[in-house]
Amino acid sequence: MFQVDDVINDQYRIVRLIGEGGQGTVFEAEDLDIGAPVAIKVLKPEVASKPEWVMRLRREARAMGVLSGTAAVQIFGLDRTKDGHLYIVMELLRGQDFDQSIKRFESRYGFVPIPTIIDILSPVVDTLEVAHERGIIHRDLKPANIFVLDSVARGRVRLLDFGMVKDLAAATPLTKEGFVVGSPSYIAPESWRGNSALITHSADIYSLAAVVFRVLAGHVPFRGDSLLEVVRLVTRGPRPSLVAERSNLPKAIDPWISRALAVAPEDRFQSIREMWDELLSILGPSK
Amino acid sequence: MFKVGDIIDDKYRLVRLIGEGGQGTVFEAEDIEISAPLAIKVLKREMGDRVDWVGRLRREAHAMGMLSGTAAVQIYALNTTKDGHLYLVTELLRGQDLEQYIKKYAQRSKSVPVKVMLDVLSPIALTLEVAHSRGIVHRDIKPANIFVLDSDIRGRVRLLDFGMAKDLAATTQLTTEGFVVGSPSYIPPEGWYGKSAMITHSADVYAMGVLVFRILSGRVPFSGDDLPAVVKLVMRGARPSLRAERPELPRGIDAWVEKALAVEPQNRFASVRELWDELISLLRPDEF
Repeated sequence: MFQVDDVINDQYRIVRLIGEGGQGTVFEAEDLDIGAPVAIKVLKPEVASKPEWVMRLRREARAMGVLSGTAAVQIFGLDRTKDGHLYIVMELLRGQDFDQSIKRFESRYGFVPIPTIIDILSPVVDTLEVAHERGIIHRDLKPANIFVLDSVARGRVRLLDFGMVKDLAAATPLTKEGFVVGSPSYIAPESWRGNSALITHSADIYSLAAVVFRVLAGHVPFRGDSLLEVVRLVTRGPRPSLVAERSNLPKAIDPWISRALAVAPEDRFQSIREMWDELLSILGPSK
Repeated sequence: MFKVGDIIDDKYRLVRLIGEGGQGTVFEAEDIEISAPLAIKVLKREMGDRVDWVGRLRREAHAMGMLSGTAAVQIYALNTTKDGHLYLVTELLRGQDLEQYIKKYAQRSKSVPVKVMLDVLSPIALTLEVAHSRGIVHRDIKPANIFVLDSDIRGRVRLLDFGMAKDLAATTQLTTEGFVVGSPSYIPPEGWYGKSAMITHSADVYAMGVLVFRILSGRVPFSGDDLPAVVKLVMRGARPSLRAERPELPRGIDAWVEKALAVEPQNRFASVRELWDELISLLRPDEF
């Protein structure tokens, strides 16, 4: 739909393609009025006119708008091209996602240092807490959706991709292309049933715990030869021990993991804040 | 022209008046479609049609746009209403300005801890470094233009008001109403000649020196009974000792002040980065 050097609404010049997700494309652009770098997200041409995708982009924009001032990516506006296509204008981020950053830390030090984990995840927790208060569930929390900025002038991290936020039409994740692939390890057990009504803020609690496990252990909590095997472990397997992997971690971390990754949402921590505070008290005064 | 309750361009609802400056009025607003809080700056009625002020608002917007991603206030867009009025859409800030923030320490007869000063000014130093590298001089660095946020999730502070950014038409500052008043202490010696050509990034270097002095000592470096007395001290007076006010500071701090506040720009630190690095190495020698 857009190409480099296209100018949208006489205002935004497309500079380069940043990335393509399931149904959206993100470009770096320049606001010609003020010389400002921005990011622009549009729907792919094949879905740009489909009401459900337009609705979804709108919902994403609204979730970002409601979370203005948190570590969610800052939206500047939701606009339409002259031929009626919606696009999101948002802050341009420079840095790398936490997935890449984890790998760099691990190749250098073996593990991501605990103070770094706390620094990076703490704003994510703050943001999810605000989101949950406002009835927004992220549903796709994973290292690739946490962005670590090069400059700390505006905070350390951003939470990306509100495209999966809660009140989406439910479909079995297993059957929805582009959703499960690559990140089944962070999806809560109840998500696999494909019943959107089962998804509460507790899904984000589970996902954050899976991220914590990933960085502390050096691998995701449930690994299997196939997706079905992973799903079986996630939904029925015993919760893994972190102390077994890193004996220098405080023993209390294992019950924390069991509770945070509990199969039944009601057995998990009640809120993201409760879970985080408990983790901080276990990991000690490392901050 | 604009009032609370108005909806601009079917998009932004004005929620409340935040403040009025010399030429502009700032509102808290809501982007209705995405429920996002933001701030909108418009020119006052009497300025709205004047080409010079419109140009200035545009220049301010451009400076903010070029500094996206730093601690400068984030601009979202510069728009024009259907009837032709220019307005600036920016992030909404919650917190207090640095003037109010440091006053709280003074009220409890406490001095501002060195660490607090470093945390607050470090992003400002970084932002000025970027600004200078892009040819933008702020020219009005002072506590009232530094905003300390309630939440540090997106960074601790913001640098406000790029309305004075360098390439403004020069007039003698003493005679430009609304500029000198209240903050002559942050204007470098060369600023008093009223020649815009003399103002370089070194003006911001000087103002950073004043800020550090003001925060750590609780007072500005030069004060007098009236403005001419202050200007005389700024231009010719001895540079005061910061260590006399805060004896626990390292010895090197007075030489640092001398260099930061030097009368001649060429005798100052060559850049904000140099000024800042030198300060850090003085105040936290264990880390270097």
